[in-house]
Amino acid sequence: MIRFLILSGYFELMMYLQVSGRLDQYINVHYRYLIFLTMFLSLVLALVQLKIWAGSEKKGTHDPAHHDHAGHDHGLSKPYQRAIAYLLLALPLVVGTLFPTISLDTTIVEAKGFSFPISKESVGDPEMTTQYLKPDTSIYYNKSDYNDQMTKLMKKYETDQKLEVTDDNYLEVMELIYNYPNSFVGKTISFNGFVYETKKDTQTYDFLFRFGIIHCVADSGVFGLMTKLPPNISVKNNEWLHVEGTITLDFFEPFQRQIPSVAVTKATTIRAPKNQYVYRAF
Amino acid sequence: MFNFLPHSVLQMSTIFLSIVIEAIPFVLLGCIISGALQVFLTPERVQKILPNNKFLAIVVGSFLGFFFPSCECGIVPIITQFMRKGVPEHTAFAFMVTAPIINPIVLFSTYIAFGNSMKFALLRAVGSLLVALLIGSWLAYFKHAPILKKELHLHEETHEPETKKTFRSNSWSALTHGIDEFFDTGRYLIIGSLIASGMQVYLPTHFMLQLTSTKIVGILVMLILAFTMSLCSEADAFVGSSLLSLFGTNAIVAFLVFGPMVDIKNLLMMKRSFHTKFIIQLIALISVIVTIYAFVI
Repeated sequence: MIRFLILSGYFELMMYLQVSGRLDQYINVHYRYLIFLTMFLSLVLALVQLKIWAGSEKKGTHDPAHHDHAGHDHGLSKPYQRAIAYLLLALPLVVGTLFPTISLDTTIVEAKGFSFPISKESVGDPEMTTQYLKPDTSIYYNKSDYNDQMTKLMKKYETDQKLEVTDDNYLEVMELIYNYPNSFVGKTISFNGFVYETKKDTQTYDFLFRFGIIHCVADSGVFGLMTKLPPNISVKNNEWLHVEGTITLDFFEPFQRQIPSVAVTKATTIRAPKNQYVYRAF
Repeated sequence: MFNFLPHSVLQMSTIFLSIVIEAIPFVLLGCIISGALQVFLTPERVQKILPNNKFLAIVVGSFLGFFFPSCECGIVPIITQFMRKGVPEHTAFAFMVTAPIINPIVLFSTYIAFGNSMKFALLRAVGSLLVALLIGSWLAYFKHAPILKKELHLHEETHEPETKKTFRSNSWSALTHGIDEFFDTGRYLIIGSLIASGMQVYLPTHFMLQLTSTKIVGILVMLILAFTMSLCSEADAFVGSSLLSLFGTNAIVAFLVFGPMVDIKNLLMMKRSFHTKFIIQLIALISVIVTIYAFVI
C-alpha cells in the first residue's frame, strides 16, 4: 500500500507543480517534458502496484516485496531497510507539497561563492570558468556554433545606445556584455536585480544579481553586474533594485581584473518580482 | 507549514527537489527497462551469440550494454547470474563497467544534463569503453584466481527454469520488477540528491577551491565524491553538470565514468558475490585507468 501511495504521489506531485505553476521555481520550463515522462511512468507503475496490492489483499499472504526475484537480490529484504527506503522516497513528496517555495538568495551566493576567482589560468582549462557573474554558455555549444550565435545576438544590440534588460533577455545581454565589454562601454543600461554586497579590505563592492537557470535550480548561478551606486543611496543584501546607468569597466580587486560595471545614475527600490529567476532560452 | 525551518534548510530543500524532479523520470524509465531486461534477456541467449575469441568476447561484452541497458544498481546480480550460466568473466565484467554508461537512456540523460551537448556523453562513453577493454583484457589474459564465491556456484539452477511464459505475464513481471528496482535504487537517488544539495548550500567555497586547485586533485576528489554519493547513472549527469563550474571538465568526466562502475551500494552487492581480493584489485585498476583517462583528455 505504501508503495502505491508513493508511486501515485509522484504522479500527483508532478501534476500539482504543473498546475500550480510552481514548476518554474525548480526547473527551466523548457524541460517540461521531463514532468510528463514522470507522470506517465509513475502512473503506470502505480496502477501495476495497485493491482498487486488488490491481489495480495485477496490472497492475504502475498507480500508484494517478496515476489519471485529470479535470483535477484534487492537489498530490501529487511523491514527496517524497507522503512528507510519508503521514508527517503516520500521525502520529495513532503518537500514538494508542504515546504514553502522560496527563491534562492544571497545565502547561496555566499555559500556557493562568487568570491571565487575565475580559474582559467590556474587549471589551464578554458572551461574552468565559473558560472558566476559571466553566464558562459559556451560550454554548452561547440565553438563555431557558439561564435555564430554570439555574433548574431550581438547584431541585435550593437546599434542600441540604450539597453533595456527584461526578464526575457537578461542572460543574453549579460553574456554579451561580459564577452564584448568594450562594445558596450558608454551605453546606458537599465535592469533589475537583488543586491549582493561584498567587502574586500576596506572597499565595498555592490552587485546587482539575478539567479539564472539553465536546466534546474541546482545548476543555477548568479548573473549580473557590479554597480557603483550614488553615495546617497544605502542598500542591503537581498533588496531588489531597479537601476539605470552607464556601462563602464572597473577593477575588481578579488578577481584581479577589470570587469564591466554600471555607474548608476538612478536607483529605485522595487518589490521582489513574482518570479525571481531568469531562464536561458534555447 | 514548515516555515519555521531555517532559511538555509529551505534553500537546500528547493535545490534538492529540483535535482529530484530532473532525475526521477530517468530513474523510472531505467527501472522499467531493467525489469524487462531481467525477464526477457536470458544468459543462454547471450551465450549463443558470444564469439569464442577472447578479445571479441570482450568487445561484445562492452557493447552489449548499448542494446540491453541496465543501471549499475541492478548490474551486479545480473552479471553474477551471467557467470553462473557460463558467460566468461571478461565478457561479464566488460558488460558490468559499460552497461550503466553506454546505454541510450544514460547517454541521453547525459546529453540533456549538459545542455543538449554531445561532448560529455561522448567522453563518458569512450572512457567506459576504454575501462571495459582494459579490465576485460586483464581478466582474459592475466587473472586466473577464482572470482565468484564458491557457495554461489552450489545452488546453481535453483531459480530455474524460466519456463515458457506468455508475453503478458512476462511483461507483468517486468513491470513489477521495475517497481522493486525503483524502490531499491530510488533511495540512493534521494540520498545522493540530499548530499548534493547540502553541499551546494553548506560547503564553503574556499574549501572546495583548495580541492580543485590542481587538475589531479580535482579528479581524485570527484572520484571520492562519485563513490560516496553513489548516484544512479541515469541521474548522476545532472549532479555532475551542477558541479561542472566548480571542478572543470576533467574532474567531471572522471566522475561520470567512475561513478557508475564503483559506488557504495555496488560494492556491497559485489561483496556478496565476489572474493574481496578481487574486488580490491578491480577497483584499484578502474580508479587508475579513469584517473589517467580523465587527466589526458
